[in-house]
Amino acid sequence: MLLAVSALVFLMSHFTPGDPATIMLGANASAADVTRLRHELGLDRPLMVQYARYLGSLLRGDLGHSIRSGRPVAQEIWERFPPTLELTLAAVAIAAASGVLLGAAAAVSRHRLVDTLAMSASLAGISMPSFWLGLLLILLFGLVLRWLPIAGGSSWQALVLPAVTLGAQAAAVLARLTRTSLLDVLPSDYVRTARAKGLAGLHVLLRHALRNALIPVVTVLGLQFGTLMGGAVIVEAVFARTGLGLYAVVAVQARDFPVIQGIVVFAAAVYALVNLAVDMAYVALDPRISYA
Amino acid sequence: MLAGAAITGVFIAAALLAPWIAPRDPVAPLIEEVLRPPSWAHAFGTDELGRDVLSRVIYGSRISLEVGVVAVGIAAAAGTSLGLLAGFYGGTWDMVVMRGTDVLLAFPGILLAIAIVATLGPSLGDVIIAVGIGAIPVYTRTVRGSTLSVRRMEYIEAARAAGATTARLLRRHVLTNIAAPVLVLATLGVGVNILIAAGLSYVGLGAQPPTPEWGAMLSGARQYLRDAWWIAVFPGLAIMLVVLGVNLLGDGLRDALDPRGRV
Amino acid sequence: MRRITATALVLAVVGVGWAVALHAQESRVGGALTIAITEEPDTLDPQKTGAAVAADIFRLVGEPLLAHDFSNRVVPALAQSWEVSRDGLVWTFTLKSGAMFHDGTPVTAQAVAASIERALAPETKSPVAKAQLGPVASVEAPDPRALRFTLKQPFAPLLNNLTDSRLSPVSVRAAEAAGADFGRAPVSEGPYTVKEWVSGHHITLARNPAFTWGPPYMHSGPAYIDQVTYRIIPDSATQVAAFESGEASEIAIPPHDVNRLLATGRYQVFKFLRKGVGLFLEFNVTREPWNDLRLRRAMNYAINKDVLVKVALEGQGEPAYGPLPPSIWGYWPDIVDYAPHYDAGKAKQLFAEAGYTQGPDGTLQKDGKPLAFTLFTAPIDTWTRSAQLMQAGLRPFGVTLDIQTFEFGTLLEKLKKGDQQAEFMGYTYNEPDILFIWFDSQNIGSGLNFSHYADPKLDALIEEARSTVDLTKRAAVYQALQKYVVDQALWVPLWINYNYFALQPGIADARIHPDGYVFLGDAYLTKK
Repeated sequence: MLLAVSALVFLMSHFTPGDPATIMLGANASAADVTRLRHELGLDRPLMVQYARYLGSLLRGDLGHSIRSGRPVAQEIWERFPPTLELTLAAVAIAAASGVLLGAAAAVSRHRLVDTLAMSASLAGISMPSFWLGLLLILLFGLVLRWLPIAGGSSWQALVLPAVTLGAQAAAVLARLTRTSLLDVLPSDYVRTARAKGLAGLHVLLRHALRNALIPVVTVLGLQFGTLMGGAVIVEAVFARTGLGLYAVVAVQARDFPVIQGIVVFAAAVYALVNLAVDMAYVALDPRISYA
Repeated sequence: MLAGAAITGVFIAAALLAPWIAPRDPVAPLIEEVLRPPSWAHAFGTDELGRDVLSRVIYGSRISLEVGVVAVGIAAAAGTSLGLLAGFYGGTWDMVVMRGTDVLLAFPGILLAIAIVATLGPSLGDVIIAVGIGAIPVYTRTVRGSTLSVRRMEYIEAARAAGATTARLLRRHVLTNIAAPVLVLATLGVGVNILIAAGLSYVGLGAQPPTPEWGAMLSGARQYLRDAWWIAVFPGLAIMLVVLGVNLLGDGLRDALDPRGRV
Repeated sequence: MRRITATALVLAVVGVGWAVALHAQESRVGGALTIAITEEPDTLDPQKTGAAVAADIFRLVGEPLLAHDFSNRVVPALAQSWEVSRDGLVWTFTLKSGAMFHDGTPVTAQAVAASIERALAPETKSPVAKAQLGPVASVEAPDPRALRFTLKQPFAPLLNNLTDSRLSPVSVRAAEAAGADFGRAPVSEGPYTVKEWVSGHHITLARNPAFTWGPPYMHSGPAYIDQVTYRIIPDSATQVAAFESGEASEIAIPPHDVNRLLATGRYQVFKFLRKGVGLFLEFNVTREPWNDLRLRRAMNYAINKDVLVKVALEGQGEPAYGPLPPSIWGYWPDIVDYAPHYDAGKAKQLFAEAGYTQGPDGTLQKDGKPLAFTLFTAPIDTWTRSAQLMQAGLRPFGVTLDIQTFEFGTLLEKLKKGDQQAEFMGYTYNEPDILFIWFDSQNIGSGLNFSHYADPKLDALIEEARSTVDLTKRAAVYQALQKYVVDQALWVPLWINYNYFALQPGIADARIHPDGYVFLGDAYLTKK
């Protein structure tokens, strides 16, 4: 799987305009110098050989060097990853908590109003551009009410607005999903049996209904993680938080290809890992399913 | 669904009629009227170069709808063809196409778009291509699924025995079956694509100044948020409403065409 | 008996006074400052960077041979005195004793010579050293405190250039030991050391307690503030927010927020005219259509600079008419009258003379080709706004312009190669010798001559200006130079902005230095 990913990235890098050796040596390099550097970099070997070398360096964790700063890409990515990870995890937590709660409330509540409100909110959430939500939140909470900081600080308060912004869309998706899922599960036989046995409503909800309803939710959460990582690019720009997302934007503007490729490969790897974790959680949640 | 159609219709109309209904030139700076709040003269106020925000929002609808529709067009065309190929012929074709789809799916959507834009260079056109490519997998999978199930059905065998050509089979049975799900996907896809494209323009990787693209307008708005909130509010509202309209339309279509929720 | 008592009393008072003063000085030590910066430096190796922000930071990390005082005169810094031979070819600097690099090795003349040789070495590829040191043939250290420069010809800018922070000596020994990492933690001999650099986030400097070789306008002794952190915040609105919330101690105020911050009355605000032309449009004369002088002149009449100042700078600046601003010595004041001003009629006439006629759709055309070009620029707010205003302003003339934005480093690379038809650029410098950097033909391709204009007559004028040591004569040559550049219409100079710095209350004794920055050598915190 990752093999294919690396192949795609490698091909893309091959199509980028500009010869890397010329870019690195600058305009005044002699033709002899360029040829020599090309040979050193292995650019004059056949495509398959280059690809093999690329794979080799990937496995060693070597993602090349940034054109802009000259430092190893892997190191630059690793240094900038923590804030982005922090943001994404916070967003996941917020999305999961609020989404599930909202969806559950909508499914369970007797009042149609709650249901309608919740669903409208989630519909708006899916349709809203994250950067707009971010700007509105900055306007409201940062400037008008002045409750929360808007500069990219490192306190937990500085994390609130960006995490909410990033998580909002995922929360909306999860809310809808939880609601549908619960609505499917609630009338089912074993729930009614549990009720008949005299167990309290909430208890039933938590132990049985929710547990089963959460299965598709967990899967979607895993898929959403990828979207969240991508969304982090935008949210980091809005809140001026220095992290991997902002770094990606700067790299594109600077046409720093090794960095861009490095980030893409890294993100795909993280995404794959997360999905793997989700698959395992799947098994844990529903013991009926197992990977034979 | 009706609500969705209505909202979407409004924006399509705005896009088509822009030159006639926009009160001002969307790119001409009015140096005397920088940063004016909403008023009778400028319903949405003016931005930092004195341009009328309402006109820019109206013209922006052209760009956003074009982006959404063209990107969906690329994705649907490519995705459907690939899906048909995989579903109908199976075997190696199937494997190749599915592996390719998996590769595309391994990347989070925006990052894939960023990578493609990096290769091609920041511009609105490249954003459309990037977003379109990213959307292909959904169509491929759905179409493949439908094609597979249709192929197995008995009446296909019967028709084949009766001498019908592959093309005819494809046209009559498969295409009619997949039309509905693809349409739903396409409609919903327009919304998603508009969001991604606007996001890319926001970070400066898409539309270049002075194009009145909604995402690009929001990126300039951040510094003026404190005393010119209208530059940020209205373009974003427009994005949300268009996507909302398209989503409602898509949901409605899905309920009408495919009540079993197979999509 | 009385006399003894009186003397004792006087001595006591003096003694107590001195002790109090000493204590006051010492109690100033401490505290931390956070300065917001927009861009992260590419490297802090002063000999390898071309970025202005790196030079800014290096003002604290290094101490050059000479400095400018607050009246813009050249005064001692690391060098305590200097003399020049009769023919202007041999300069000898006597270094102060006791100066030490951050790694503890002494700053001898040999060490400084080695540092200068490194700056000039081709492997170092320094973007500015050659231009700044000019016709230096050799640099020697005849004795541990004597540094001797031998020039091929007299070089007037030498003293001014030696005040540039990028020519501060670095420890070559440390550089060789650290290799590529030297740029992350350079070893020099300034009032601060580089303590930490977290990529993308901040650079922290720590006070150097051994520093005593500062310029005469600084108190003798090390700096007071313990720690200076440069916080990288690329977005100007966020910088302002950080400043107002107290997270940042010093920022460069974006034009839009100047009035508001001034009105609060809470902050120290410093204003000065930028020492450089903030924005100019530069033509690449090797690419069509800008190889035609008439066309370039027409553009100079077609662009309204007052509008740009009013809207893009929100009034905080002045229009520029030549390659030098009023804030740099050598500026010719009459250039305002000599150079073209916005004149629509004259512009149209000149476009016509260049062979362009109005086509059916309103665009200017010649031989069927429309007058259209792409402008390269960087994502700087005031530049982007100026570009859009200029674009709209040129449209009625029938000129079409496309804007393409590149990150600054990438932009510079493209401009060196000559990919552009025209671009936006700006600069900050403290010497009229900047004209050498922009216009001498040696600087095409490897340096900053982005107009790619090679003219032996211009080169000769520049050489003359560089080698004339007599101030009056030198000023006259620069007048001729500025006239010539305007005549060739290589640029359309646009504006010179006012720079505003804001400082938190509680930071005492920070002063605006004429080189265009906030001098913090004497600054201390009143509440830590």
